Amino acid sequence: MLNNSDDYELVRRFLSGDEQAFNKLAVRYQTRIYWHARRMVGSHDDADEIVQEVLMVMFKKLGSFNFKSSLYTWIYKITSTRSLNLINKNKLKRIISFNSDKFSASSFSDDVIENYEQKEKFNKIEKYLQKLPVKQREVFILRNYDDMSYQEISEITGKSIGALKANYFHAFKKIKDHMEEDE
Amino acid sequence: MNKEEMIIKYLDNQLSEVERLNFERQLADSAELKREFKKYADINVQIGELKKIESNQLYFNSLLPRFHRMQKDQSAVFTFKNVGYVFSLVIMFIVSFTVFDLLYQGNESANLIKFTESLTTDEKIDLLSTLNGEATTEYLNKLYSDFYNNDIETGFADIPDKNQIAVSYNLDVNNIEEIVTDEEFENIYNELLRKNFFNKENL
Repeated sequence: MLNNSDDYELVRRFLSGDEQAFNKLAVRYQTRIYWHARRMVGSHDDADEIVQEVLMVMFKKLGSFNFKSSLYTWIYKITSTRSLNLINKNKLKRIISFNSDKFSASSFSDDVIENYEQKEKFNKIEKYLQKLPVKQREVFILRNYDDMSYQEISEITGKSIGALKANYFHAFKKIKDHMEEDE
Repeated sequence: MNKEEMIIKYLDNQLSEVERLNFERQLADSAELKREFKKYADINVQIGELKKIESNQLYFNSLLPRFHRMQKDQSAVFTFKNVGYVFSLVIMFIVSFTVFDLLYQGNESANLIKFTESLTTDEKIDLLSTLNGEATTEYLNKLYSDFYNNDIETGFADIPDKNQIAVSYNLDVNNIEEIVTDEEFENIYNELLRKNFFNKENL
């Protein structure tokens, strides 16, 4: 688990003018930001765009980080928000362009995953994740892939723990049902 | 709690100690529950395998340099945009000032015309007489020099009983202006102004 005091020290150094401290923070979190965004939006290009946006927000807004929560909770909150915004924007684009494809084949084309077998498994699960309602998807990803507690997920999403557990249950059940349909 | 809820909570570590033991007992006794449990457990295994992905490190190494490039570009765009906004504001101010000035000037002329039309003749004469600048006097003299020279005589010609007066006082009618008082002369002058200056044909 990441060391919070290290994070705080790097933030303080960055706020004092040390840009190298920001670079260290970025390298520390960029992989997690990318994969969270990737699982949320289902596309490498969109995830890449979100990573750049999140880094920009971190650079501009670290001054307003109040050290009351952990830094990674703060970063995940930004990543989730940007991901949800992009999903809504893409939904609107699809409506305007009368395109009913929710999950296009081009989402599979990227070279980020090197292992072919892993890529196949990833794409399969990603397909089912994209079929979930966004809020259920978010909880499922944060719980299963990012190993977050319901308390941490509650801080990120602003939802109650009870609601999150219900969302998690429905998400897991839907994934199982979709997999059964495909078999 | 139905069996699916129990399975998911069990896999999610959300059951109490008592509930967990109870569920494991049921799992051991029920083939159907085992089948259902396996479906969810398999999904959990697949997800577990995907928590650590062997990813292309070149891509992640490129993120920070691209970010810093984007940051520099954004600062340039920000400066350019700001200059653009300032320039637009200046143009808007100039256009607004020009339009306002034109409207105001137009209104000023209209107000002046309205004002002069509202004056009575006497008020107009008073106004003129207070315009005692040299330019005004020069202008009036120039404008009415002909009237002054010609119409004074005509004006005298209009005075009733002029001949009677001349005969009465044993004067040459042409010398009658020599006996006109300043006040009378002033009255004749004003009468001429009234007739000629405020005659619409002459405006």
